[in-house]
Amino acid sequence: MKKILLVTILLLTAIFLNPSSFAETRTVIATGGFDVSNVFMMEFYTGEPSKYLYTTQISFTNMDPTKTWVQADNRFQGDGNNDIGLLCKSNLGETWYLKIQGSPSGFFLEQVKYGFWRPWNRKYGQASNGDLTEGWQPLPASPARIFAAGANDLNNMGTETSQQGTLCGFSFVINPSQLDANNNYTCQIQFTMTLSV
Amino acid sequence: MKKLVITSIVMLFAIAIAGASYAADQTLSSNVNASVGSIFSMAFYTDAKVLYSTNVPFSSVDPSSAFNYADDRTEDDGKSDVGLVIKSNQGNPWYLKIKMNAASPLLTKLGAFTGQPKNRNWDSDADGGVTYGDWFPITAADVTIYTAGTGDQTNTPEGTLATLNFKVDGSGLVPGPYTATITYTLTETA
Repeated sequence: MKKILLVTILLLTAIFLNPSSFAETRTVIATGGFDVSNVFMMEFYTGEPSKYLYTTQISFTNMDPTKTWVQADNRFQGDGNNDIGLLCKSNLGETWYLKIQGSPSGFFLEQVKYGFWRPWNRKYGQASNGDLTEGWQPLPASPARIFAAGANDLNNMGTETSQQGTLCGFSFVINPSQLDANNNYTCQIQFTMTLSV
Repeated sequence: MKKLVITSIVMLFAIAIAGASYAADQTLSSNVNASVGSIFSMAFYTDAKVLYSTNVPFSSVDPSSAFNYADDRTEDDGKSDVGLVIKSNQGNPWYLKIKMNAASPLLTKLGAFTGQPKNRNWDSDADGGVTYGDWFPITAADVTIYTAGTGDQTNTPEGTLATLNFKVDGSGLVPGPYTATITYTLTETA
């Protein structure tokens, strides 16, 4: 009897001391986080239609043939308005560039000029500190860089929608010299926002 | 477990940094649509060398001379009596014609001369055709004196300048006042 009882006790101890027989503890770490989407986009600005009159179509109707340079419909010299506005948005923190090119039909590219002045950084509520040449320039036939984002434009995404983007305004003039009255003339103007110099 | 968590965080950073360099170009286009107002006009032109417009005075006509020039004019003085600026953007040929009133006593006594007109956009001779290379009589019927060239058919904004000189043949004229009305016509009809 004594022999039998001793064996039993030993076995039980062995079982209790073996860690593998303990209930396991698992620590689960829940990894949470948020994803900040990249923003790199350009859109026509329509927030002030009285100041930025056009988007995809710009009309020059019945241009005065005796004038040298004519503005778009409902535009007057010194009116403080623009033909179009481009809202360039980025949060990439990298320098971006704005390019322009024109493709006329029926007349010469030299008969079209674009006007471009310092953009407005809506995040900081001040003029952009980017690099550009202001004033009236001839429209190029191939993409030409006209603006390089400044430090404040690299991430121009404010909290509110109205504080997002760098607003670039453009105006155009056409020289109607030696254009026939019986024809319609067109010119496609393409804008490119790019990270490529 | 700890090892797995660290690895995940590193991967997220790698993806975020790499993604910034690959933003696609953004493009937008605007289409300009343009038309031009029509012009087909003729107007008098004067300057220091083009002296007259609606009135060309001949205050003292020598009845013994076939060549009497307007007041303040002399032969080869480099000036003109009348200038006409013609503007067109019709893209069509046009014709400048001249006549005088049939009832004038100066009929058969008036002559005119027009040199090669000037295309004011080019600041050089227009490329049209002058009918007469020398003095010609002004008659009571329209006569074409200039036919527009290719460069004249749409010559905006400055137009084509045609200048004319006049002379009066004084022979047979008795003393007294004389008048004649010269009519210039710009037309697309030959």
